[in-house]
Parts: sequence; structure tokens; C-alpha cells
Amino acid sequence: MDLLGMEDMSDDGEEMTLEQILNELHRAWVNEKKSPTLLDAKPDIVECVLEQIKEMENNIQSQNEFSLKINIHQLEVERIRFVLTSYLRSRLEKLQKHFGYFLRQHEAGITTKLSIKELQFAQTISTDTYDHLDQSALKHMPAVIKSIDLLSKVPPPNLEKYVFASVKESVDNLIVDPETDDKVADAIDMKAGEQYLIRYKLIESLVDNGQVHLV
Amino acid sequence: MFGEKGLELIQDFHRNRDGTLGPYNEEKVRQVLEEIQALVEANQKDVSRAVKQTSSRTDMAAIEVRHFGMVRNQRCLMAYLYNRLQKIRTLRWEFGSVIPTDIKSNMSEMEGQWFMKYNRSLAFYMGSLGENGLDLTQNIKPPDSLLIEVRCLEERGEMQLDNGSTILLKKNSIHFLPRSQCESLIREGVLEHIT
Repeated sequence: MDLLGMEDMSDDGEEMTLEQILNELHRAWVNEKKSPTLLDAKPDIVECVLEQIKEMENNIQSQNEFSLKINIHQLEVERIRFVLTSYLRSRLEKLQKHFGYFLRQHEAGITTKLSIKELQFAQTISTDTYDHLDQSALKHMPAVIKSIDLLSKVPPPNLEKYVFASVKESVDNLIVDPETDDKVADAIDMKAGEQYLIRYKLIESLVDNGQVHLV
Repeated sequence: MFGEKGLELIQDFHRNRDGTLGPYNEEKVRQVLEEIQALVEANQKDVSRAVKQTSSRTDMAAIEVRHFGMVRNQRCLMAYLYNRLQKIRTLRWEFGSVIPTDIKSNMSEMEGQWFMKYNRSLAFYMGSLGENGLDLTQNIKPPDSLLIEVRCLEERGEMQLDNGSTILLKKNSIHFLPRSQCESLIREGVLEHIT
């Protein structure tokens, strides 16, 4: 019996092997670490990986001998757990730093970035922080400046950051400079396999689509 | 000039930015709030004069200057409080849910309450991942081996491991333990990783 248990996980009717799930997790992890803002939440992958970790741990526990094979599998489980926690931590860090931006984004209708639990967490943080500022200082201030719009004061993520990107699928006509009165729009064609150092803002939607990967 | 005390608060925080949290400067915060109050009262007098149309151009300028002074003071206060919260949040990830008492004494009462609320919401979020929850404060570094050699720095007595066996943590004793169980103790400073 293969201890890792290469199970076929049903994911929206699609059969995914363990290897595919781990590759997806790995890709999501690198993208999330390199991106200045939150990418689309991937609760399915997180769930899948958590279940797989549990299965693997159960398999290991049920084996009672101490063999090198067991140790290697245990290390594999630890590594997968590390990638998963690092992915979730990276998301949580960005969420905590820029909660104002993401909450307003969510209110504006872009609901794919935060999972349900992350949304709850962000809302709790927002309320708790506002309560603290209110209790410590705002309630002692005169009526004219007694309340502030916390969500817009919290600094937003820096979308102008330059990132290294590797193109997976060709993208034509990416507008680099918008059209102004003086000149025509400057556009580039990106071919698959090329690598660019580019402002994050220009490729934000492409990263979410999977057409471009961050490195 | 207006806003000086506010700037001092920011300088206070900036001086302590690399270490752990500095003491909460209750006194200065109170002074800034008093300054805001004084500015508002002076402005109210001038505004009532303006309404009666007995004021001059200089009065209008004074009202604007005082208003900007108020807003600046508010901004300094908000920056001071908010950045201290960020610092406290970093401490949570470093020390775990229990902060050493000497750092805790630097937090104001309301900051202590905020910390408790943050602990709770973080625990709630981590508990909701998967069946038993996933502790995100573990596994900070990529694991390169299953067991690590550690030296005990403090007396902790007996400790039970996951597989049921107990080990005696005496000062300077060396143990060969699974990484997952040592991580939190290493962060606390009880164990030391021998490389």
C-alpha cells in the first residue's frame, strides 16, 4: 500500500491526483508571496490539502514499525504542512496590513479575494481597531472631528511594485501606458515562456487568470 | 506652535521602533487632546463672531489655522495609536498568546483589551481551518529534518511528548526531539537549537 495514498480527490467533478493538488498549492504559494496584494482566495485547494495531510498522518500512525520509509513520509507531511501554513500566513499578513482596502473592495462587489473566514476576521479586526482608537482618543475629541473613516485611512497595498513575471499563455496588446492627448497607447505583446520585470498593477488580472506566474 | 506635542508622540514611537513596545505615553496623549480642545474652544469664539459679522480677515485665517492644527493633532494621535497596535500584533506572532509581563506593563489598559480581542479572533480563524484547526504560528521555517538536537536552558521539569514518553528538562541537558514539539519552546527561550 502506498503510504502517501495517491487518492483521486473530486474537485468540482474533476479528478485531481495528489501531485496536481500539491502543484496547485505550490503555485498559489509562490504567487501569493510575491504579490503585493491578495490574490483570489482558494478555499478548495486549502480544504483538499488539509484532508490529504490528515489522511497521510493517519496512514503513518497506523504503521507501527520504525523504517526509513516512514521517516521520509513524515518529513513529506511536515513539508506540505509548512507550504500550507506559509501560504495562509502570507495571506493573513497582507489582510491585516491593508484591511481597509480589502474590505472596501469586497463591499464594492469584488468578492473572490477573501474566503468567508478571512472576511469575518477582517471585519472583526476593523471593528476592534476602530473601537480602540475611539476609546483611547476619538471620544475625547470635539464633535467636528469625532469620527474618522478608518477604512480609507488604512494604507492600501502598493500596486505599483515591480515584480518578476513568467508568461504561461501568450498575452497580446497589454496596455503599458494609457492613451493620452500627446501619444498613442503603448502596448506590448507577451509570448509564452518570456519573463518580465513589470509593474504589478498591469498584470494583476492576468495573475488571477493563471496566464502569468510570479517568480 | 500647534502640533508640537503630537510630533513628540510620533518621535517617541519612532525611537522605539526597532525594539519591543515602548511605554504608553498617557501624559502626552492627554496633552494633545487638551490642545485640540483648546483650539476648538478658541475657534468657536471666532466662529460666533463671524456669524455676527463683526470679524475681520485675520479672524478667518486664524480659524483655518486652528482647524488645521486640530486635524494634524488628530492625525498624530491616530498614527501613534495605530502603529502601536501593529507592534503589539507582531509581538503576538513572536511570543504566542502570552506576552512577558515586562512588555505587558508598557501597554495601556485599552491596548491590553485589544490584544485579548485579537487573540480571540486569530484563534477563531485558525480553528476554522480544517477539522481540528491549523496553528499558523507553527512551522515558521521550512523543515529540513524530523528530529532536532536541543539543549535545555531552563529547568522545566518533566514534559510529555506526543508519542506518550516523558522527558526531563534539566538545565543544560541535551535532547533529540521531534521538531514540531520543540518549536514553541525554542521561541519561548526554554530550549536552544544546537546546530
